[in-house]
Amino acid sequence: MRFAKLIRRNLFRNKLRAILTMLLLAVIFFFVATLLAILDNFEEFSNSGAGSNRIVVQSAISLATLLPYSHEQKIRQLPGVVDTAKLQWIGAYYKEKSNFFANFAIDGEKMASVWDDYKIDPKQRADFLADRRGALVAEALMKRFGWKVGDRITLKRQIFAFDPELTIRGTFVHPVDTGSLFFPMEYFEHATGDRSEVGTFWVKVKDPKQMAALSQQIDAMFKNSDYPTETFTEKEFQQNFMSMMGNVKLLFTAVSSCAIFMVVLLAAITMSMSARERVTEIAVLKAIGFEQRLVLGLMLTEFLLLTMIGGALGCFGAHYLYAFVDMGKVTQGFLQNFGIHTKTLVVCMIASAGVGLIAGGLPALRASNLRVVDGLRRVV
Amino acid sequence: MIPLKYNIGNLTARRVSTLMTILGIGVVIAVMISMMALQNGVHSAVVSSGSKDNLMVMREGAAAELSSWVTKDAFRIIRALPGIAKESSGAPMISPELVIIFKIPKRDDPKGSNVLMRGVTPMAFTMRPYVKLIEGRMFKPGLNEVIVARRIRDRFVNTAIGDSFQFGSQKYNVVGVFDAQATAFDSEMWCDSDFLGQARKRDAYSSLIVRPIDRGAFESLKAAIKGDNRLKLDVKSEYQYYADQTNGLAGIVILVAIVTFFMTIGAILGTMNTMFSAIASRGRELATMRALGFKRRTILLSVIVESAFVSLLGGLAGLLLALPVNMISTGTTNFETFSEVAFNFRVDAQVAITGIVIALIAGIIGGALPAISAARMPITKALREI
Repeated sequence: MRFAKLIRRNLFRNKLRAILTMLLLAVIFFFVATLLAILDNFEEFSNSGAGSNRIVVQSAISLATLLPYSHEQKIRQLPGVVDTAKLQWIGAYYKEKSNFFANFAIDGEKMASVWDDYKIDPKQRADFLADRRGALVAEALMKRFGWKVGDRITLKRQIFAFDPELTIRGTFVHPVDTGSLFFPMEYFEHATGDRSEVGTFWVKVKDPKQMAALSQQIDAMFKNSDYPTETFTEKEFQQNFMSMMGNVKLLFTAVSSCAIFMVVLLAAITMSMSARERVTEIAVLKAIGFEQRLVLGLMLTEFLLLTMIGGALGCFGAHYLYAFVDMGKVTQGFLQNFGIHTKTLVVCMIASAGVGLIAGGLPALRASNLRVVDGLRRVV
Repeated sequence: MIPLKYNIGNLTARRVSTLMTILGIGVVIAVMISMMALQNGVHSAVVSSGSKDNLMVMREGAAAELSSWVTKDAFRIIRALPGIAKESSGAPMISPELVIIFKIPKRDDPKGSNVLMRGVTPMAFTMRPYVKLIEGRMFKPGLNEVIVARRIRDRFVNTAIGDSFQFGSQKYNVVGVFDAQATAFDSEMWCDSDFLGQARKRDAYSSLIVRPIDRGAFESLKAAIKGDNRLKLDVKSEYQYYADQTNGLAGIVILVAIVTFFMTIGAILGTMNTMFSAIASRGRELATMRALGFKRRTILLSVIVESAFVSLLGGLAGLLLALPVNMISTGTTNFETFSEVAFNFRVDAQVAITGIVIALIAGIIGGALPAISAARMPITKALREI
């Protein structure tokens, strides 16, 4: 701590250069933190089904192929099954195509048993169940579109040949699902005239340990029918959805690494510049008795501070920005519950320290190794 | 005007830091070019498929062929409409197509992806002459034979000639491989439409592709089909259909915008930083030049030129670094159609020029501040400096 002032003075001896370098690091780490946070966000979505004791039955042929209702009765009779429900992806949108969100037709009366992790006001639940054209909406989604309970809304069709006309009867809160809308299966059946096929069955299982075995049992049961099934745990189901996007993780990691590599190169230029300017000074320090190790330590501390302050500005800046700005709204629902986690902050800080060490290591070593006479003789 | 030789001399004098700057900017530009190449590849894989000469008939309100439904009666009604071009044999150029997606395991992901299977008649090949069989043979009408796009065969399991896969009670044999010149059809498998209808119990088509005789017929056919209340069908140009499909790829566009934005700022700050260092170490030199009679403007220009030159070299280095991504062939899912889009990263002239221009602009902007400070340096003070 005795040298705090010396380090501080050296750090800002060339104010402009220090500020520019910090800014560069801030911008790049803001960017890296954002990319990592998007990855985390996807991961959270993938893991969102964990612990819900639900398995999902869909057609083995593809996501777009429907399954006959008769499958549901057979599944319900299996031991270990608490309850089952039908769920159909509707894929409609609100007013503009860019207002895309998740909307489903659902067995409303089964929500209490199969989707018991959705918190719904009992009165609103009753209202929803009483209205064949009622809708149950995530609270965050209500905010996104400025809806109120009691509003009448019309969604535009994309897949099925009807525009759902709904009255919002209630809202729900769920730790992960913050963007869905549900309306009764009866309305879907009535509108499409199809009472025989549906996209997925959701099965609530008594014991989580049974999920894998039960999944296999269900798939084996329908293997040789015209409608073979593929059964996943809810977690796997979400992961499949994510993996459809392609190798996002590899892409993001590659882009982040390149960005950091670029920062190392540019920071190294600044640091070697700053070390070179000080050759005489360092020689003087050594001449008056500063040990080589101490000189090296002082310079490295300075460079570390430089990059870590920049990195901190970037990743904490991102952290606070995303805490105040509703990214769900900005990205039109693409990133829900978006934020920078402590884990990401730690990774970014370690990386920025790494930048300081790698970029500043050689210049600092070289400057501190210089013989006193050479240092004093050199004209900079 | 100070000769360029002076700037080049300066750059070679500070060899290491010049090279590091070029490499640093090069990495930035390489990332940017790669991302644009990705967007370019996906975009052209989707958009380039549609022809402005063809009409695409689908169910009202259907966003994609997958959710569309066109009855065989409707097909017969439309086929008899006047204004449809005729093939040399006299058959009307109208191609009924049935689209279904199948989930097939990938080589690098056993969970697999949804691949689009298109049931077609020979007319589909007449209307899309760029779809060419490159290996094996054509499927026979009515049989459970399929031909697959080369890009699908390369990335999915069990899709080579001689392989077969099963869905429900139906087995599908692969007999040929086709190439569709990097259009959306390069992410598909094709088979006989009657066979596919029977196999998946669908007594209807997904879409009809119609070739009108001329522009006039294009509009009149469109009006005739839309106006027929029995049909409840929607018509747009095939080109428009595929252009609309890019909505499902909005995520990529957002990502490319974010990357370009941050990388450009990074490049600007980077050049600014190194140019400040570059002029700081030759304050006396610049002051001498001023004393010799070079104008402030000339110094300003000289520094900007030097900065622009370095970033230009950086941009070129970036382009070189990014060129190998051209060989990457991969896929993503279009959430508009819920099926696989196989694509190649594509660095074309436009992407390359954009990357280099961005590098140049970053160099000029990044050089501006250091240039101003160099030009405004008081001569006496700078000359006195050691």
